[in-house]
Amino acid sequence: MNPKSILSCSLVALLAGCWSPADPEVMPGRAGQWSGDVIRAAAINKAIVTQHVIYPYHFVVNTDELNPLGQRDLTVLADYYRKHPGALSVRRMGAAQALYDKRVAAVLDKLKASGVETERLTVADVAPGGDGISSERVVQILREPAVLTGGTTGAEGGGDSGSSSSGASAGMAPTMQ
Amino acid sequence: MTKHWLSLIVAATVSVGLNGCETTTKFEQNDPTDPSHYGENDDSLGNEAPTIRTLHSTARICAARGQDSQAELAYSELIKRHPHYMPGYEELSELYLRNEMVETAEAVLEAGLEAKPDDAVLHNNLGMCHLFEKEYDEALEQFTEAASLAPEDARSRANMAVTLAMMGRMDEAYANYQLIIPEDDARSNMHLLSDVTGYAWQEPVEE
Repeated sequence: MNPKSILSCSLVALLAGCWSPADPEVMPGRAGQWSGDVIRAAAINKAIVTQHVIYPYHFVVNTDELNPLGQRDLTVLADYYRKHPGALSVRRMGAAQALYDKRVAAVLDKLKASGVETERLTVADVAPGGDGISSERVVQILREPAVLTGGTTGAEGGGDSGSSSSGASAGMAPTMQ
Repeated sequence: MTKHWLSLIVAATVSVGLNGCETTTKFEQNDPTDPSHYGENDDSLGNEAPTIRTLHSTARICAARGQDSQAELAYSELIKRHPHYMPGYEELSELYLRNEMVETAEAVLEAGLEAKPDDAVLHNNLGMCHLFEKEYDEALEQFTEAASLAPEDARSRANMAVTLAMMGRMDEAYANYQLIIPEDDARSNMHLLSDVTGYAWQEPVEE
């Protein structure tokens, strides 16, 4: 056996014997937690596309800034809309009109930055899949930026239909019993 | 001569390698904690500090036996020695929650998040603490963060749904259920949440 072989064998044996207890992948507690992640993520992504709705919980509270989950879900939608332009719903749910308008604009900006042709996208405030109740309004996005109008109806968070603006909320009035 | 040279190389390689391995398992020599206090010491050298596995197993065994004080000590030691080993924070906070020490549990989780800010499980568990305290805004923030960090983990979405329902945001809650469970189950859960929270919810009408 030549010297290089001996050296190689000793190195391989040595490295194989090294085990880092700080490696979470081989430690108890979390090892099995992430199994099947890819399948689960794909299932959730498919549901996000089926739903194709951006909710207030996707934004930082009382702002038009998408939170990390909002950015993540919108990225999933962008992947779809790049190939299949269609309808997207951005729910208002009691947000002030001005805030809602900014949110719609923020969503469109993000989609555009992700390579989506937003001119071919219809944005509306409707429940996923439609609920048979006409939405307050539909914003048809054409070649020019959307011009949105309206007054204020109060802040979000205390319920999803606290204002009459959420006509598409399928009767989910948050009335305390 | 060649044989002697080879022996030196192998010996040197083994020596360096073992030292390299030791850097991940070697603990502070002057640690005041006696490993035997926590039970079995699996360190073959006997005079070394317990391994991470030993500490963790000891803590778990104590917790399972209801020896919460000993478990607390073991978990604290585990965290002290391995601040980036997240299960220590998770399980110690669960131990505190079990003893209705929610604020202490929150402090443990926040310490863990200082060590690893992008840990989805800790964010989720911190959200649970806030949920127990009926701090729904904070809970939603933590669950949302967890869901963004581990989008494949349905638990954070489910917890978001519960929190949103507690806030009266019923159709946002329903939307989250729709992402992670079959439609019938989503509706069933929403009816249950409606009963619990007192917020009305009606099934959407199919077109």
